[in-house]
Amino acid sequence: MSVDYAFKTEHLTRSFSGFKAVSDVTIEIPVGGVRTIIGPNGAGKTTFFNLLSGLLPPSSGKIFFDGKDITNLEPYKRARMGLARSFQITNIFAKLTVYENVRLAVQAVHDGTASFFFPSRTKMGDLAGKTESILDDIGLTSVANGLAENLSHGDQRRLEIGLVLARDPKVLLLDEPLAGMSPTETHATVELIVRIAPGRTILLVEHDIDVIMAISTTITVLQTGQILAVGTPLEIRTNEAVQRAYLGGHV
Amino acid sequence: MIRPVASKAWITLLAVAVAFVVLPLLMPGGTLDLYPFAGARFPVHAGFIDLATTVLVFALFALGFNLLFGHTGELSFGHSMFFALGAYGTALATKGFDITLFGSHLVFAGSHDGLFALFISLSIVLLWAWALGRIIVPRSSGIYYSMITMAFAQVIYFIAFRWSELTGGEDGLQGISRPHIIGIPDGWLGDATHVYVFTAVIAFLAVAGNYWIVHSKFGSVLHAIRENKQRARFLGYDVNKYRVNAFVLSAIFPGIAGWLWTYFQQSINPDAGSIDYSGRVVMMSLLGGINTFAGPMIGAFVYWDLQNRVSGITKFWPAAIGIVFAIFVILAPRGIGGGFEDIRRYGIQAVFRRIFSKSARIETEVAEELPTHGAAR
Ligand SMILES: Nc1ncnc2c1ncn2[C@@H]1O[C@H](COP(=O)(O)OP(=O)(O)OP(=O)(O)O)[C@@H](O)[C@H]1O
Ligand SMILES: [Mg+2]
Repeated sequence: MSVDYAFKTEHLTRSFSGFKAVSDVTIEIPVGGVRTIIGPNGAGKTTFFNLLSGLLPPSSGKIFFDGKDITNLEPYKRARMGLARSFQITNIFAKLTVYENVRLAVQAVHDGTASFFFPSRTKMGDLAGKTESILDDIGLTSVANGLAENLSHGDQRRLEIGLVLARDPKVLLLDEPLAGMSPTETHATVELIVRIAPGRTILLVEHDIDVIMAISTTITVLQTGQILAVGTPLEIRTNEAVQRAYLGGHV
Repeated sequence: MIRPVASKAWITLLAVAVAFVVLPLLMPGGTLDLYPFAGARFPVHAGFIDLATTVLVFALFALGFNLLFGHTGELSFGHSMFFALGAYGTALATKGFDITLFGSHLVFAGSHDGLFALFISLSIVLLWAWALGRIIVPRSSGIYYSMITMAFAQVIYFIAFRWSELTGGEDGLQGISRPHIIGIPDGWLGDATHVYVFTAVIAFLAVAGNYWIVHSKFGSVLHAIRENKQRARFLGYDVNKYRVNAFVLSAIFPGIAGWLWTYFQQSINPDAGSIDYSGRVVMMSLLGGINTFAGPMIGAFVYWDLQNRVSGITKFWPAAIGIVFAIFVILAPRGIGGGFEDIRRYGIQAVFRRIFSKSARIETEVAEELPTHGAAR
């Protein structure tokens, strides 16, 4: 990578009928580490992810990724550049098997470069092997042949992380990956995130304050669509504005 | 985790081949007619071979349509346009034409070469489907997609209906001779049984091609798009490219069916491109089951079999078929093929319980615009 930021935004704004969900955000997210975004409900975290990943077009402002202006790039092209995301509401192929979910994610890496009518192993490599290794990574090998919709909530969220991992992305956007998980599931998933983090930049939206403090490289605090503070967990913990506005003195 | 795909392909295609061989005998009046009162209540139908040929043509038509409906999750309500283009293309390639267009005189003498007609028809079908796909796909999905495809089909229909000089207008084109095709002796296609055999062989090859598409890695992407367009997109699939390609591929089969239809009927009229025909393949696919490979073909058989029997007893046969269709969609929302699959998987009792349970819901499993949420938080 020729630049030292994963993402850069300039005056990024998105309004919904006049209401600015993301408002004039100018930020550089450095390469590497777990970059956590926190903020109260409705702060604009998911909207920010939607802008970065291309689900929503911005009302104004620019987005740079890997040195290129991607403001108007289609989502699939961003994915091909090495930007992958999971969604706040689990987003998988519910009526396909777990195996097929992962296999499709692995196959997607070759869309546009290899023929899917006459698949060649030299071009695509070992799809089955890669699929199985991801299933192993996310701990779903034993349920691979069941339908994804029959998985427990926590396993569905882990499956989605598996889909996101298939491309071996440089940057991952994870929108509340731990939401609704049991303590055991949370523990396993945090461990998974920590394990895949080296060599990538992870943008994480989370509410679980213990996890945030434990695994974040930096924390960005978002409030009413604007950046309130950026810093290390320690800095954020002691930041007065943050204390007042968000943490409410709980930490 | 190793699934023997290859052997399953052979079993499916063998079953299709066997079905094509016994099909004429199953039709009303055929020696294997399973309907218990066939002889007693209905006049023995001399044209059962022709009826079987009709079933094959529509089986192919519906199968192609279902590549889009069942496999990609997009409902085209205008697929008869490709059937009509294939049919009229063949008729005109055979009979030739002599028209004046924008002041210039266009003449073509016609050719009896069947493969030439196939080439011309499919070229027209592919070009039109590709152009339409490029226009429709990026701009619409869901109900709008259905409506726009229907609107374009009406364009083809009215051209066929109004441009009398080329298409023969309302009466269509008659007296189209059977084709010359290398390897087939001249005159051999003069016999109804031979026409059936010819149709069956072509249909079988096309079915095999369709099977290959559906079960390829390309086909698996279509299934991904059906289940969750957004997820597919964010995995890096160029979803609209696949939707256009699926549209074009699904147009080829009605095109081939139109080619066969013209030679079989030896005439063609605007009905081929009507909303009625577009609707029939939707019905056949749902009857047979859109999420099974052979479903649309089974649906084509049931539709024509039923049509033939009921039209023997009442002139209100379209109403009767409508009622049967409605009952089917309510009681067996996954169609006949889906019903068999469910019985195999869950047992007959479970299936009957579901049929008679009040909570059974109509669910076609066509992907909706929103992603299927595994679980809300
Ligand atoms: N598609 C939309 N249309 C209209 N308003 C929207 C849309 N998406 C988000 N909003 C609004 O924008 C604001 C920010 O929403 P967003 O989902 O980004 O918040 P969030 O920080 O992710 O909150 P949460 O912690 O609840 O997930 C909210 O007020 C929300 O109602
Ligand atoms: Mg959110």
